[in-house]
Amino acid sequence: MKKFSTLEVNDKIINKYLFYKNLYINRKYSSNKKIIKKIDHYQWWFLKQKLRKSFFVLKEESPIFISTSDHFKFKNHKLIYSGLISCMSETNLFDLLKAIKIQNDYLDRQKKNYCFISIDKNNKVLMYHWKYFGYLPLKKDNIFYKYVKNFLNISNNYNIFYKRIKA
Amino acid sequence: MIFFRIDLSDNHGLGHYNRIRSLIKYLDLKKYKIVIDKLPNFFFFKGEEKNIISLYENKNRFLNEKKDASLFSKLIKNKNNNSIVIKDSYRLGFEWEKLIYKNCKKIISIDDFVEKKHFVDCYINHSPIFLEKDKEVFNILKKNNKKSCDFLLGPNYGLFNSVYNKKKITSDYVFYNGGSGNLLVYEKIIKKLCRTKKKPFKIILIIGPFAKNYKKIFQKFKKYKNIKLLHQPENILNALSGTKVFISSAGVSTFESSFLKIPTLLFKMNDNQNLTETEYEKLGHYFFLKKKDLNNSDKITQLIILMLENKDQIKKMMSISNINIKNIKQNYIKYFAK
Repeated sequence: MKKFSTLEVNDKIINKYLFYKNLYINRKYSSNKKIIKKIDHYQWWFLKQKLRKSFFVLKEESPIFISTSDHFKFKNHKLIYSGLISCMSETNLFDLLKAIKIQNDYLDRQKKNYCFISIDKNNKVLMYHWKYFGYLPLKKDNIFYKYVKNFLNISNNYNIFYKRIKA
Repeated sequence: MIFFRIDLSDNHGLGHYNRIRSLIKYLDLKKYKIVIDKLPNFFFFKGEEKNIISLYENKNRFLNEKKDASLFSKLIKNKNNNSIVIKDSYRLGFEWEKLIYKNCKKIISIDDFVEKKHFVDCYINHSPIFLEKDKEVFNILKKNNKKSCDFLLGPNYGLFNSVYNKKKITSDYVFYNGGSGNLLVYEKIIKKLCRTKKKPFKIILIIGPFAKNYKKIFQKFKKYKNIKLLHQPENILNALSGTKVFISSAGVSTFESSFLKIPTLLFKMNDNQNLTETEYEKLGHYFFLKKKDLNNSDKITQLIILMLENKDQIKKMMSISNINIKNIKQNYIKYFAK
């Protein structure tokens, strides 16, 4: 049985983080398909990374994914928008599902939060996984729909799902 | 007697000179000569003039390694037969070393390139690449050097200046482009920084001795009261130690700012600045861009401001850099005492 663990992301991986973000596997399903330039990444790191909680998912001590969680507020609600960045140019379904499981273990500990994920409509692998982690589709009549879609700049090519973590 | 043969000109910059100056300081050398092509008439070298020898007179100039070796051999034979030769030059390689080898007691080469072939008794390369202890790199080195060659490798043999006055020159930003680089590559950024509505801040521009456009730089920035020009400062560490953010070409000053743990934005200005991302990180430098990024002056200006605002965060990142001058000094003293 392979050993999985987590490790907090710190500032010293700023350049590695960009390397991972720019891997084709990550750009393929990302809203921004272009290679991110270093200068833009450095600026983003100082402005936005501080608001993001990220940790590595390690398999046998080697990073396979970075779990990201952007924490923000809407009215009186605490919201989390989470994502995964692959650290490998190729991945397998088992590792991916394991990373999603570890990420959701973390999210389920964030009490009184609403968690959101967005999945590319062309991503056949992750088309149905949300059901097994307690997510529901975010419908247009939901109070968060407009805000989440606009604030996070999520295009129509993505389905949005959410779940409520109770106290 | 120790003879240093180095590259020193507007083409080659100040890096080789600064490196051997640090070795002279580490070893506290009194009797030595620094041999260069021609001594420039700069006040920067006044204090060292008596120890500098110009190899080429009048209109003569460097042609090839063989001719250079012949001239240099004559010079060291005249002075002393039992001399140590320390060479820090990108132009002089295996052929030159083999010719000089016969005429000296010991020959040492300071280099930045693992792939170059040498014929020396000792090879010095202070690149952080050697912290990795990569067998492949060591094998290349062994293959390119004599069997009996001693290797002084990695930042534990760092050759850079570490001595500065207690009275720091304080500033928010210091801009530097090496001993011969054109500081005006930063012009747009500096002017944009001055236009920001942040509280008044101080900028220092360090102009190296080989920079040809001091007057032009002076004219361009004379109306800016928050900008101070340091022309040919003997020691850039006095300015570096008192600043909050350092913006520089990725030369020898990379080591100096790493030693002082000054948040630094580095630009790779030429191919000799050949460290990889991981190697810069081993020196505690996480922010490095290419020369062409300077075209994006708006973004660079914003980044520099962000670096100032987050300087404490960057300093924490630099804690990885553990350059210990006492150790470096001891390492060199130990080797040269042999």
